[in-house]
Amino acid sequence: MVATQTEIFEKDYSKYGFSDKENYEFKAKKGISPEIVKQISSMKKEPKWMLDIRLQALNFFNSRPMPKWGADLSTIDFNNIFYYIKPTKDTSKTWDDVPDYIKDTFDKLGIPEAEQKYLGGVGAQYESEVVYHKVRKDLEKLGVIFLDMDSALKQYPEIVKKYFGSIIPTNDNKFSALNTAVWSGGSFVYVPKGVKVELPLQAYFRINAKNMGQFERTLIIAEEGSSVHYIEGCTAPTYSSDSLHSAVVELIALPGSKIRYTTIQNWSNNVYNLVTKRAFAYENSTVEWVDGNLGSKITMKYPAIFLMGENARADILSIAFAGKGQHQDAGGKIVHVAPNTTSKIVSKSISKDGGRTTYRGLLKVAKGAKNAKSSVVCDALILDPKSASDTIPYMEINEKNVSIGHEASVGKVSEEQLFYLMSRGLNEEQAMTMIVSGFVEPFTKELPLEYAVELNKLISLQMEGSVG
Amino acid sequence: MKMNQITEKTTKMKNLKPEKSENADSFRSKYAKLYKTLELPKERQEEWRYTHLTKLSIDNFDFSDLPTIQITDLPNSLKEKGIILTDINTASSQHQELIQKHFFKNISPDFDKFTALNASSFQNGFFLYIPKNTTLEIPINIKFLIKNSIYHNIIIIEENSTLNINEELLDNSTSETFHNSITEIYAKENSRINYYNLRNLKNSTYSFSHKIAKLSKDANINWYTACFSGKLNRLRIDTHFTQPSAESKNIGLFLGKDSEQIDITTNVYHDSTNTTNDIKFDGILKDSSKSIYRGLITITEKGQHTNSYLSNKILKIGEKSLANSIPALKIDANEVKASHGATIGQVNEEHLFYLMSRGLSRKQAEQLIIQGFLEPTIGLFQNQEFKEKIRKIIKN
Repeated sequence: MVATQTEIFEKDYSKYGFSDKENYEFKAKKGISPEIVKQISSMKKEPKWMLDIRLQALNFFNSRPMPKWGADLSTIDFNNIFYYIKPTKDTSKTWDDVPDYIKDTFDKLGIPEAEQKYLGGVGAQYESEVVYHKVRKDLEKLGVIFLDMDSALKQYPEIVKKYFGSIIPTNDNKFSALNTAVWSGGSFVYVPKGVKVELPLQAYFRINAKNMGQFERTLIIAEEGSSVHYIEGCTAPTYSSDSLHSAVVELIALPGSKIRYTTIQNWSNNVYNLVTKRAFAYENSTVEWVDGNLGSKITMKYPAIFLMGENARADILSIAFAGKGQHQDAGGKIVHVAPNTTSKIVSKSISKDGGRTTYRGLLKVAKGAKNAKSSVVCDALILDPKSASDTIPYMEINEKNVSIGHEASVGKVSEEQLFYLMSRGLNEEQAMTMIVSGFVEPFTKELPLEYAVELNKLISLQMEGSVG
Repeated sequence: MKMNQITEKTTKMKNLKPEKSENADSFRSKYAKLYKTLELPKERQEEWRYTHLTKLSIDNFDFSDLPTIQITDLPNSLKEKGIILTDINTASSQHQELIQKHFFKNISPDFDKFTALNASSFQNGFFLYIPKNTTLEIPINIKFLIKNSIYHNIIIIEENSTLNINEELLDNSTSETFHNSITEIYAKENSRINYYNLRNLKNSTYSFSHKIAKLSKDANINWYTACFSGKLNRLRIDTHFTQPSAESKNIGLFLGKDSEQIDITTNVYHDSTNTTNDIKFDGILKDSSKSIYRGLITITEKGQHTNSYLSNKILKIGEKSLANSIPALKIDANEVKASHGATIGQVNEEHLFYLMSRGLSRKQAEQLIIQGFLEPTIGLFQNQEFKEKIRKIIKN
């Protein structure tokens, strides 16, 4: 036990912090305008309906005010961001076709290795475009589609047109409007009726350039009785100026299907991470968001599940870690629309070195959602006097026959626990790490093994030097 | 000692009539303008989310008939000890120094439109001052007759003193009525207050009451509240811990029926070390009534070693009732214990069935369940008379 814990401390965080020289196919000029939007659309040779959606979205973006609640977004300078960078000509199907410097990046991040070992498919996005995309042959034969969103628009325009923006309307919020105007990349997953994808599909998002804006768009459709697990990871090098990541993710779980969506967000601490994620879960389906926020300067992200059909289930597991200069404003939203639906939110957050974590959640039971059951549990650990934590849950219950529970607690690491571990020969830092790892265990045990190890590493890195 | 002969039964109530005061007038004119320029709070504003005020027009209410308050008639022996109980306008003439130090010092008149209204237009209110080292053996009873009225009340309790106060809103109104009150409480070092508050309103009454207590070192306030009915029965209780080792309990219940709306906020601000807070507010919603419960625990960087707890349980009986619950934590210190719990549930059909199989009608069975749900909270009220009053209201 002790040996593995110590080993963890020796890992090097700088493995994510490197950056590559820019050697791009195309880099749009800074700022956002109808011209930039048209340029993106025409470079992608998109159908006119998509350009129309983009331009309408740009209007929404310009006319909506910045949100006044939540984290402080006043320092974002929308004119100082590159909205589109195309690193390579095409999306490759083998790593050999990916330019060496990009391949090196993903090698360092361990993506090709992971692909061989335990993934059903991989997408790798570098700046605005997906540079590599591949799904295992056996899955392809079963009719599973796993493509980058741009290719999906070309190859399956009817499906994309039907579902694009159907869960998150263009004008849902300022940042979903921004994403819709300038989206590029992201994943498109379609799982046919009855197909169960046993190995996870993974997408990896990398920002490399300074002042980059990454706006991927992901759409996952699980047909009746199917199941899929999608994992995304995100990293970026540290620059002194800020980057913006604003994704839109839409999930559609048709009757009897199951979607699990796992995120390990580890952006560098100069990235604003403002993401809109929402799922519709129909009869007897299950949607699970497993959402880990470790990196970024500011994250505002509240994965949502609308329970649209009877007996649908929603599960949100959220973990946030805020260190120096970070504000993790995360949480979850669940709306019970149909009767006999069940939901659960578990949130664990840790703040240290002046970091701030916020749990912000909504639990809504609409009229008619009889026998809705829901439980929300939020726990926060604050490791030092400079750090802070907020818990802001909303409950809006319009139906009589319900059972709703919410619990939250905030505290510090107990001295007795520390003392106990230290009396067993651990030093204070090791003991603290062990307690924090135990605190987030409900989250790590939901992850595929490799990710759990990775997460534990990240936690111990964040913990290093935490006790004086 | 004469003091011992005074019991609750021997003290009488007197009418506290509104007086005119020039000191107050100059203050009023300053905020009349502000009141006019401010808009009614919108639902966009966090503290008014879920509260619709679109149908409310304050200027349509007639405030010309000045309101009186029924209040305990202090025996001379207590007056001689330096206890002051008078109306706010008399106090502003006769106790200028105390008023200057405490009037609108717990809250600013520009807090919202209702505080500006209160600052510019308060008609009456009580002023209670309890000097050092004084244990009041009788409770102070205060009854507000609900009519269109705006009150400003101040309680100052000096070091090592003790106060039990019973505030009651008596509502016999038959048409739409507007009531607004602000109560500022200053609890000095090692003082104790038990504040009982009964708000049984008619379903045509809008009541906006805001109580703010500021606790000094080792001070202790226990709030006991029962809210019934009202077109909009809005009560906000803010407890500020500004010095170490102060404590507060806040026990409350509410019951809404028909299309009534009950709107409760209990906020606490821990701005010093070793302070303790425990909130328990439970409610029942019948018919198509609506409730909003909001409880924010704030712990600042200075609030190390805070213990703060909040619990909110709501039982929905009405098919069309609507419950909103927003317990929140905002914590900037690490050596703290803070938690909240909220549950919203329904009547267990099996319990109903059991009771009905024993020969009760559905209505009777529900009534029994309501009593059973609220009884543990009632049990925490320390005042027998208050308990009985509440049980009686619940039974009807």
